[in-house]
Amino acid sequence: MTMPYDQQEDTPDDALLVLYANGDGAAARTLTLRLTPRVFAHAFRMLGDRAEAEDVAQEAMIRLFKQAPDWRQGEAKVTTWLYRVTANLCTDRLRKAKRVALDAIPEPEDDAKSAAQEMQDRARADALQNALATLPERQRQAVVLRHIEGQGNPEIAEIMEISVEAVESLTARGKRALAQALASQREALGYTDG
Amino acid sequence: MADKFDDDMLDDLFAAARSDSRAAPSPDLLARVLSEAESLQIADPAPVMPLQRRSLWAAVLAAVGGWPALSVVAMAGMAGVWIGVASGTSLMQDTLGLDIYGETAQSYLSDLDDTYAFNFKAEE
Repeated sequence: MTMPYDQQEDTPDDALLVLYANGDGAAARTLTLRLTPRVFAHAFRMLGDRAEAEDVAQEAMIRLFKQAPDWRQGEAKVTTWLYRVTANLCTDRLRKAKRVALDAIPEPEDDAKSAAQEMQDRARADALQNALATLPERQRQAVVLRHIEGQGNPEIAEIMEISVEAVESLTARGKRALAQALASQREALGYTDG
Repeated sequence: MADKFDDDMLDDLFAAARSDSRAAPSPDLLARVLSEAESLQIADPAPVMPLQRRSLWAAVLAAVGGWPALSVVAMAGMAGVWIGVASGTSLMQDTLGLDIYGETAQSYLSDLDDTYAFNFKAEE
C-alpha cells in the first residue's frame, strides 16, 4: 500500500524508512526530497566543491536506502545517522586531497536579488567557505553543524560521537579561528567597526 | 568591542551561507538519488511469504494431523500384528487364520465358491 506523497509531509523520517522498506514509492520520493538537500549542503560546506558534494550526497543516500530494511526505529535519529555517514565520506575525500578551488564552482543564477547584492552575498559566502577550509576538520564540522545547519549541541555530540562539552569547545575555538582568518577581509566584505 | 563585532560579522556570514544557492542540490542530483532509491526498492523488495503449492499427499498428511499422527497409526498397526502373532492360535477362529498359521489343511478361495472356478466341462 502506498501513502500519497502529500500526506507524508508530517511523517517522521524513521517511519518513512519503514514505508520505503515495504515498497512505498511515495516514501522514496519524500525521503529523497527531504534529506538530500541537507546531506548535500553539509557535504558542500565540508568540501567546498559541488561535484564532490554531489557524489558524497548520492552515496550517503544510497547507504540510507540500503539500510532501510534493517533500520531499528527509535534507536537513532535518521538525520544523526545520515550526518555521521556524510561526515565520514567527506573525511575520506578530504584525505585524498582532491579539493577543487571554490572559484571553479559554477554559479547558479538568482534573479531575485540585485546584481550588487548578489555579488556581495557571494563574496561573503566564498570568504566564509575559504575560512572554513582553513579550520581543522572536526572544528569545521562542529561549526557548520551548529551555526549554519542549526543543529543543537546534544545532536552534534551524537553525530560526532563526543561529549557536549567537547562540542562547545570545538565550536568556540572554531569561531575564534574563523574570525582570525577573516580579520583582513572585514572591510572588503562590507563590515566596518563602529 | 572586537569580540562582539566578530560575533556579529560571523552571524551575518553564517546567514549568507545558509541562503547560498550553491548549497542547494541540483535537480539532476535529486533525480539521480530518486532513481537509485527506486531501483534499490525494486532490487530488494520487502520480504513476503512465497506462495507454496502443496501436493495431494501433503494435504492428506496435514488433514490427519501430520507426521506425528501418522506415526501413531503405524505404531498401532505394528502393535496389532505383534498381539496377533504373540497370542498364537487362541484368537484365530476361522480356517483362513489357522491356514496361515499352518495348523490345518490348506484352503483355497475356489473352495468357498464353486462359481469362482472356470467350468471347462460346460464350455466343451
